Amino acid sequence: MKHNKLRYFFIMALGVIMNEGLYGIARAIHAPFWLDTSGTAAAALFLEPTAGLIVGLINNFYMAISTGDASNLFYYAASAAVAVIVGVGMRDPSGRICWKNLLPVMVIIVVVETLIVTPLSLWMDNGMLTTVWEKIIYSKLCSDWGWSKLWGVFGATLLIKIPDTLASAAILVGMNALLPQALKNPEDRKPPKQPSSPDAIQ
Amino acid sequence: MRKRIFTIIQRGMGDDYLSKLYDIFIMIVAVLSIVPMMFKKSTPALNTIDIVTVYILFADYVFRWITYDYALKLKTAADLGIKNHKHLVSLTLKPAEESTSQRVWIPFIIYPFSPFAIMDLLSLMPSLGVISSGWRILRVLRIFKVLHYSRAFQYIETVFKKESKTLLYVLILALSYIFVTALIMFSYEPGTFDDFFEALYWATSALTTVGYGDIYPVSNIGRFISMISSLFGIAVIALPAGIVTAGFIDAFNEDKKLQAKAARKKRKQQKQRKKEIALMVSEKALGLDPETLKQDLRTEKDTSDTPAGEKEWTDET
Repeated sequence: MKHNKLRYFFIMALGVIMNEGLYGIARAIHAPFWLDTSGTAAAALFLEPTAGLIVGLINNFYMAISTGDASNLFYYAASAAVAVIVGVGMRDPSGRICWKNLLPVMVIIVVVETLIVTPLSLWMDNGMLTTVWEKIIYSKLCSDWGWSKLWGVFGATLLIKIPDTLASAAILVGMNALLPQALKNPEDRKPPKQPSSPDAIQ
Repeated sequence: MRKRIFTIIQRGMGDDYLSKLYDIFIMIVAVLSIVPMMFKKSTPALNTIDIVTVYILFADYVFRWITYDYALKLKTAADLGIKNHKHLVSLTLKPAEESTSQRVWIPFIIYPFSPFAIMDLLSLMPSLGVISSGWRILRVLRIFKVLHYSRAFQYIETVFKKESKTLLYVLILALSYIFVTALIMFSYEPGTFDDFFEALYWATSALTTVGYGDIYPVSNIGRFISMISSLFGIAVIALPAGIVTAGFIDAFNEDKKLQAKAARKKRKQQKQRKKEIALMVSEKALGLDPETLKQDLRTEKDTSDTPAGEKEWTDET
């Protein structure tokens, strides 16, 4: 029990650090992704959706304190969606991580996050986009292709979400390979069940 | 993890120290979150208090949301009349696989529409800057968090649930009485009131004994009507107070009885345990078999504790 508590604490703390650290690095190098939900997804995947929800809330709280604006709370909806989609979608009925679901889960995350973030950006920040890449895509869509503000923000957010989700997924795959067995869920530590041979049935 | 969160946040589910600490913590946070309302101008410190408390209250909202399936199970078990606390907890915390319901996601859909969730969310809205400053008053709803954990508020809630029909009749009676009084006064003294709403305002303030004195009857007939209506009106208006008070005392006494019964049972169990230990020690010294003695004691305890025909768990609360 004590070990389990430590495991939860370690992975959740790692999730918080990942969210803040990788977001800071991505912004510093002007990368075409945020990675601000990678830690949330990791906690949801390696522990459970509730852990991801808590990690997302801590990060959101930190953001609100650093900006002095409680309205950041609305963006928590995006983190919560990631935690629930990853935590529920990436596990099979036996409770093991199912990597086969990675692609559909990624598609769902891209669509759902874009649907959440677009109206929030338009409503709270008047469609002001934060990263350089978003601004480039937005101006391309709106100025060159003549898209409206709504579709411009939607398109820019959607197009940035794709590399963001891909990069987060790559981090999760890497983490799964590097994470010590002791820090994984008990179900994921066991070897996968082999289908019984015809000889055994006979 | 969800189960543990539920036992911590739900009042009376966890007997541990952390659960009690959480109740106190949330009550303090709820009270603290109202403090910025007491100042005319916002300062950085007040702003920080606002942000921090809003986040803690929002976290509480999220925790309640993600554990609402357990809360519903608890409510269902309580509605079925299960009074034994241990039995109630074990039923509530039963894993989802064992549950008879297949639609496990339904509680998470309905939670945001539950009265307490709506109230919680409304109370947080003013701090998020999404509604105009005129709605700042909604922050006061946070005080319901404190009341939610208060035993006195639970008594009042029980009384309102129990006496809802009676209170509704009394309310209809009181409203009708105010309406009729205002109507009579308005027809006798049309010069005193600009419109019927003013007559209603006068009748309400007079019959509830508030009497601001800004509007009053001037003719003798008007004053006479006012005297008569006040004499009868005070009885009508005082009725709900009597019903609520009587119900409150009943609920309080009932709770006291249950607590005393639980304490008696605990004392009895402790006494029995002491007796068992003493017997085991003395019989060990005499060289008798302690297992046989223990079995005898259990048989004796069962026959003395459980009256015939009574379910084992119904007498423990």
